[in-house]
Amino acid sequence: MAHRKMMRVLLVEDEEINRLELAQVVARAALKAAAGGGDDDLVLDEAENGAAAVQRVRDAATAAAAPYDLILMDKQMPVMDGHEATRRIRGMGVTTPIVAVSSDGLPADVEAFVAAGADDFTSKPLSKEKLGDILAKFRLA
Amino acid sequence: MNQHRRLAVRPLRGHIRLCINKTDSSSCPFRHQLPPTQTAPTSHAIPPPIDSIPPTSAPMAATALRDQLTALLSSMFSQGLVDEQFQQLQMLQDEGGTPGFVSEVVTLFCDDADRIINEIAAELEQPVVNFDKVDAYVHQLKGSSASVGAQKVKFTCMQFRQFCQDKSREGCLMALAVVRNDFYDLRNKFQTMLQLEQQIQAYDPKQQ
Repeated sequence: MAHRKMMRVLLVEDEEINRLELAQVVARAALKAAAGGGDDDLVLDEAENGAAAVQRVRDAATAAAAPYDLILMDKQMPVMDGHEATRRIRGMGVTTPIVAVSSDGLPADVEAFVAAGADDFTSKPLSKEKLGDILAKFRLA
Repeated sequence: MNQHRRLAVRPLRGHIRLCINKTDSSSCPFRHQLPPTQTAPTSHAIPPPIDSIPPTSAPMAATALRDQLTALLSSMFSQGLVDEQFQQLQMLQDEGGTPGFVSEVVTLFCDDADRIINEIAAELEQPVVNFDKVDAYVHQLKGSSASVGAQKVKFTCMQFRQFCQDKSREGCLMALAVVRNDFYDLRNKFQTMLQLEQQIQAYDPKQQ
């Protein structure tokens, strides 16, 4: 597996407590990836709502910075929810894996996220094991 | 507001065992700090300040503190106040995570929950209660509780939401009293836990 120098993750979540926890989980998963010969550095951007996430992705697309490797997307957020943000990001032609992270895990919720353009869905809380599976699925570990 | 973090991945500091249902408290290197504004509740005996203990007694005092912390954590789990999510948070920190992470999460939870409970109480005092608004607050509290592993508060919130859907003011007031009581109980335990960890850390700074 190719050795990558850096992994860029966008974390979209309105609750500070969840952002704090997700950041720790992502950092731990990145550490595990590094131990396995994967990434040895992690850039974690955070957005408090869907609109901020869309702007982040747009900025990354137009700047010289590398695009995101993974976007973790909450569902219920103020200003713009996760479904709409996912739709808009896909509308920009961005192919970065988007994984929905939500406490609403009913089949209809999952289908709505997938219909919006998400690649995968996982229920809250996001454990390091779940994230490890996600990284492996998208060849980020 | 967007935030940007650059996290340099750090090496593992070794696997840390959790102090749950164990008598060997020496394996509990907690490294949290008590926020300066918080005070210890009176329901748990806290040993005297570290500078009042003779140096030769310090190891014994540290052991006593660890035993006390182990007992407290065990009781929190056995009473169902916290669940495996709280264990996950401890493990994240202990396995090389950011020092003070659990303390930060616990403090955020306590601040959030206190604010949300006050918002719910204010809404239920209105002549015409907006039950959708109350339900949204309870949903938020349930989410915060789940994030920190506050199991009992989370379960009470689930029952609370049923009263919101039934648009029952009486039921909501009853549920509010229960959730407030559950939260205060947990907050007292969290404050004691953080204070004990702070004192243990003071005895053994190399655990930081």
